[in-house]
Amino acid sequence: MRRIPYVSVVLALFGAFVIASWVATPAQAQQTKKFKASAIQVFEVECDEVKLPPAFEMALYENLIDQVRKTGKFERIYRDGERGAADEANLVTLHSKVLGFKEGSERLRQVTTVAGATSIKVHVRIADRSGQSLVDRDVTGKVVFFGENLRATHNLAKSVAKIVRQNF
Amino acid sequence: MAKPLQGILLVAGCLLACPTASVVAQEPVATSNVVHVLGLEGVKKKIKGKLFVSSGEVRFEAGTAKAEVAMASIQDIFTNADNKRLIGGKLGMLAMFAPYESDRFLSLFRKGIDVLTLKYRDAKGALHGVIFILPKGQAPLVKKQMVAQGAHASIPVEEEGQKPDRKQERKP
Repeated sequence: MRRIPYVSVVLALFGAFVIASWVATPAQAQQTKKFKASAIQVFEVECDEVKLPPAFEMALYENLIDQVRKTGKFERIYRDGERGAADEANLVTLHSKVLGFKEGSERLRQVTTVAGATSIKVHVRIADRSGQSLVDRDVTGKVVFFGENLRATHNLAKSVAKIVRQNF
Repeated sequence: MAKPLQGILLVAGCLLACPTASVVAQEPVATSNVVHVLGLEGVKKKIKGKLFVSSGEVRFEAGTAKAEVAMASIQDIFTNADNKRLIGGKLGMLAMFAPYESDRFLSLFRKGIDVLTLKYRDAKGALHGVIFILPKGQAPLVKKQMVAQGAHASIPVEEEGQKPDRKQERKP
């Protein structure tokens, strides 16, 4: 009986893998469908249910604007209550609601390394002009090892910017 | 005889009263060693400067960079006490490489700071947040001055600094 060479088996497997990836590509493209918008309005952070210190609230809001601006996906970025946003035809809105907050200790982090982490969990919703949700995600920002407590808001805003990049 | 005396008294009164009034109205109250954490447009983050509170505005100056916030536009002011490492900056970074976990030991030595948070809306109605770090004990004084000059604060200075209700805090 003639034996099948090892090389041909490897080649066949490789070919099958390539074909499978071609077949999978349209489905993946559908999953990462990108939205288009020329402007975004970042709303004030909602913290009705969970008490968030005012410094964290404002730092999160400012960092969100900063990080969304850095994505370069929008021509104009409007703040909460800013006049002019209402006239934008292709506007999306970014809403964030605080779900959880644990204020750690910078001293504890520096002394023990493993304890004293600060974390904030926020539900992020990006909606179109009609109010229909385009993106609905829970995002967590943490400071585990180094940095001051407010750094958690910076890390969270960076995660939100990543979501924006993936979807726009 | 009464007329010249009246005139002298009037002139003397003007001389005494006018400079004092102008000094009170114009001279802003300055707080030095203030760190701008974030929020002011055109000013770098974590830069040290002076905070001036005058009748119409709050002004932050750090070298050539400066930014103003109109007192009437301030919607809320919050203060909070915190602490940070006594030895920070470049020296603090170098301490990380010191032997026998000296860095951890040095982290135990800390100094008190005050955090001042402002929430305001600009001329377009856009919401802004500004955070400053002040030397210990300065934030309530600055807040008092700002409230006296017409800024709005939802929590009175006396009530601030009390610990928030821990029951409302939720773990993520």
